[in-house]
Amino acid sequence: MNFTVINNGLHVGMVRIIGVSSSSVFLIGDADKISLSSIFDTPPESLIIGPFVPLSLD
Amino acid sequence: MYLLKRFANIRVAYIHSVDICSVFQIGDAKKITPKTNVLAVQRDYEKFNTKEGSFRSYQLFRESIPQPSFDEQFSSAYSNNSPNIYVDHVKILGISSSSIVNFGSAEEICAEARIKHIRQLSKNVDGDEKQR
Repeated sequence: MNFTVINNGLHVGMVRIIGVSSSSVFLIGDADKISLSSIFDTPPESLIIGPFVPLSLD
Repeated sequence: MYLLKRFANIRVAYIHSVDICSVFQIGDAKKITPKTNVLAVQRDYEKFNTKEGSFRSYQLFRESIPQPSFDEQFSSAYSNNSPNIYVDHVKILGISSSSIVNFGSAEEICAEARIKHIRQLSKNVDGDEKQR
């Protein structure tokens, strides 16, 4: 595989971001390696309706 | 892989909040590796025990995440015709949960976030006194 990158001049006026979250990256510059992983879990059984039970300790 | 790094010129930066294991980096970085575990519990009524919950009891905090291999062979050519990146204004409301805002160059970024959401609602939704 041949991979060619040509970076010409870059001038950005304004960047507006509300949120960068859950292992995300906002980078102005160069990077060699980026590896981002995120697990988000909201299964049906995580919705507990009923009497209050504290979360288990183990 | 070798990449000639460029200069990042930022005139104004405004970041409102940097939260839970996040990084706001001005300048070059060698290696940034934030890792977060979050148990997000939302309850219908205010009740918080200081001793409750455990990451061990949920599988998503224990399982391993497959990572890409970086030793793949390929031929690459980079030509930076301009050594500068200019940004006049950056405005960010918040960065959270193993996130990175980097002005400059980085060699290696390796972030990980594991978030478990639990919602506990009381049984009576019709306005009766809530079960406690």
